[in-house]
Amino acid sequence: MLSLQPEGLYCKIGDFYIDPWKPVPRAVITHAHADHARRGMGAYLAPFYSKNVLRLRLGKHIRLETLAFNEKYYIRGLSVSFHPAGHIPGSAQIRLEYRGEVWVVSGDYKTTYDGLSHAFEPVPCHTFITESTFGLPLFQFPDQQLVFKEMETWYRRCRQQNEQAVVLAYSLGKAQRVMMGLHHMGIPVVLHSTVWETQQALSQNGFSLPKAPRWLARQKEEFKDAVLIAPPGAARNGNFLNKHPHQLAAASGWMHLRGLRRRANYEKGFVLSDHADWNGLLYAIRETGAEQIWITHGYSDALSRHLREQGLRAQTLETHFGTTEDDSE
Amino acid sequence: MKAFIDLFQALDASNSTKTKVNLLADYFQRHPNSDGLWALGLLSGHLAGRRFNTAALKQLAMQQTKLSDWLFVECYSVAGDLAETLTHLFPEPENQGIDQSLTDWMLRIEEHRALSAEAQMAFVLHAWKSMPSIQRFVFNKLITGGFRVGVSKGLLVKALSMVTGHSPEEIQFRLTGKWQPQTSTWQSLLLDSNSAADLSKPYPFFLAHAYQPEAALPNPESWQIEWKWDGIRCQWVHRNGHSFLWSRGKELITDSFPELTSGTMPMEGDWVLDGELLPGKPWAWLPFSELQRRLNRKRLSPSLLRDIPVGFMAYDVLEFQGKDLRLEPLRERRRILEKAFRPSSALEISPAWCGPLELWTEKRNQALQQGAEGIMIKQLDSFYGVGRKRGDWWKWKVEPRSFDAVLTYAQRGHGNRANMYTDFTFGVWSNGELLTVAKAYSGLTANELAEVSRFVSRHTLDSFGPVRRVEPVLVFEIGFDGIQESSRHKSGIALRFPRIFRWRKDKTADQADSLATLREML
Repeated sequence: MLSLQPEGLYCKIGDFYIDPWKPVPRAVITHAHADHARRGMGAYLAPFYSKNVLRLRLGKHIRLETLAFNEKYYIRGLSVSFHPAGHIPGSAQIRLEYRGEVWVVSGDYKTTYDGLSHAFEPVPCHTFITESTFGLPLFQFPDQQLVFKEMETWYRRCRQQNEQAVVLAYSLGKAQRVMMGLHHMGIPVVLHSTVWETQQALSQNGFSLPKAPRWLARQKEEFKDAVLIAPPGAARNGNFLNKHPHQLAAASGWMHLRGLRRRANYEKGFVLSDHADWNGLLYAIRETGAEQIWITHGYSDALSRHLREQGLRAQTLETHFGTTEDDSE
Repeated sequence: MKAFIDLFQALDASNSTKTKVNLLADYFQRHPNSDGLWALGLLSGHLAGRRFNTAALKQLAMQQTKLSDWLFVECYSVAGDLAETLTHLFPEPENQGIDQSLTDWMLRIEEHRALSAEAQMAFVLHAWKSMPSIQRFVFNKLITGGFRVGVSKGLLVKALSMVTGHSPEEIQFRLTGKWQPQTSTWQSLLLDSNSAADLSKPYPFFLAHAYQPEAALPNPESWQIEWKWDGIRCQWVHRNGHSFLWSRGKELITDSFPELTSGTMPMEGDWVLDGELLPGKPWAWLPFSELQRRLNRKRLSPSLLRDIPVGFMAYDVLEFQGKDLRLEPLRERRRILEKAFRPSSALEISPAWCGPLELWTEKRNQALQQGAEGIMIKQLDSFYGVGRKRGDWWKWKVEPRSFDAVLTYAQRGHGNRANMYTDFTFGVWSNGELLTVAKAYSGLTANELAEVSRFVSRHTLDSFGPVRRVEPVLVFEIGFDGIQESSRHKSGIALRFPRIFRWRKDKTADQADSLATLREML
């Protein structure tokens, strides 16, 4: 049904690629992150809830068709449908069915509900192609409520010390998740412009997100009570916080590891992942009932070896996913 | 243990030494008792060390989590730390245990060391299952040893000095020796009067500035030239029949060099010498890295003492017959040094010359053959100042040399730099193969490190645990300060302070240097 080509994962029957990394005539897209949705494709087919963000990121004039979750698109006897992946707002798994055989490409996913993205649904299939970003037993993430509690304590301390609390979170997905978490605790937020633009696109696409102001350096004194949510790149490149007393915190699954937390040099690290942890991956794989598992980006060798030891047919697939910096966990 | 865990987390999250000192001082202020002593002992490394058999801990974790060996090893190599690996493999407990003091925990741990392996593991397992993960991590650090949270002994000394009002030197002195929290008290270790502490006191070290030949010094004949030795700068304090060795970092290192302070003294009475500890016979014959092996050892083996003999190369006298000489001019101090002190197997007087600029250059050119890294230039009328006062003392190092080598192996960093390749091995050509000549850890920018890391993950030929053999493609210019014959290395040479000067993206592997080129530099 699918094979690995220099351009990406190719479906010969339907003559299209899934999340290709080189320009091709037809691309089916799991979600709008830069390592999955790239520029230059002749036509895109994507989940409905990713429509506006895709246009924001890839250009207004791309040829884009969208489908609702579970809606089937038929092409030469093959059906294509999108199913919630729980990774970020509008992210999907892709299900392909041809003459009774079912394949599912997970894209990126997490099995826990983040309060915003459509919750992950296991899709029964014969072959499951799964990511493995956190595919080691080392990664067993805490409940997000605990993490938000921790974030609240940190925010109060920043306020006491009269420092701007800044959470670094990539602009599509993590930023909104952090915002919702803070919003539920009654903590005001202010958004860096990239995050703000993404927010607008998501709202227009039907997500109900609280209103939040856009960060303007000249009004920084007005925002002192709010948590500033900014993409990690902003902290690296810009001097947008120049001389404004602040504390930087990162929200990422990688913050689980002390070495990475320390090397990143942030004052604080919150373990908030948009990818499934070890138990999440094993759960998802088990629930599909798949006989064959292909494993893409992450600790793919370790996960596939572990699955083989459990008697499953599993192998590593070398893709170009997980390689762009801006959206990486 | 909550207070200690909070301290640990706060130290771990901070990059500022000032904050760290304040955190430590605050903790000691609140715990001037056995908790304070345990914290001090653990953070300083004095009491750190494995409490239980590491292999048994790994076995226990694997058996409980039902993970294969290889998967455990993979996790360990990604986390870069055993305590952390053991922590993350277990889920959060439903109910948390009751909090006990640090002392209670440490005593229970110590108690179990004497028991059977089964009892030890039952104790550890119970702890793992009842502790939330941050507490479990600190507990694992306690039992696996090695408490590295970026707290140097200097920071602890500073904090204790703030809390007790004693000088940092006195704190240093009080902390040396074999104290134990079970038998000492906070009062006896840190507060009760201690006359011996005064006896050991060193003077602040006087430091030199880098000499720029274009900024010519007036009247060359009024300066004294010495070798700039490449060892451990050290004051040898001898008072009331007792000797103390202080490093420039204000650490008391007497116990690491018993051959100096146990033999016949070079002079009677009270005196203080400034000089350099050097390894090998004749001195400075062994590389500096060998000298470092003598430091921070719990026990000095006879073979280590035999293989790496150490001597004191004296170049200044700061106190003589109980009198502070620091305001005497250098020529007078030098006269006393040469006249009064007897060279022995432990002590030598560093040679000195006066002469024109040509002599300076000549000596500097000879420095490497002497095992020195350059020359010192000291004003004959200068007194022994404090710190790095400009103008009287200069150092003129030999130019670093360099060669081009090929990256052959890379290893992930540990702790702070886990998950990134930071430790590199380099080879040069010899009969068509690459022979390892240097390991280097520093010299690349963060961006370059990330780029090299990416290269390594994509061009690995073999993996040996955390070490990867990579395709020999990348060429780097490696700088070094000294080069010596060495029978310990396959290449037959040892480099002093190799570091990466730059990434030679313009060169291909076959354009890297050969071993013959390096041997010409000997």
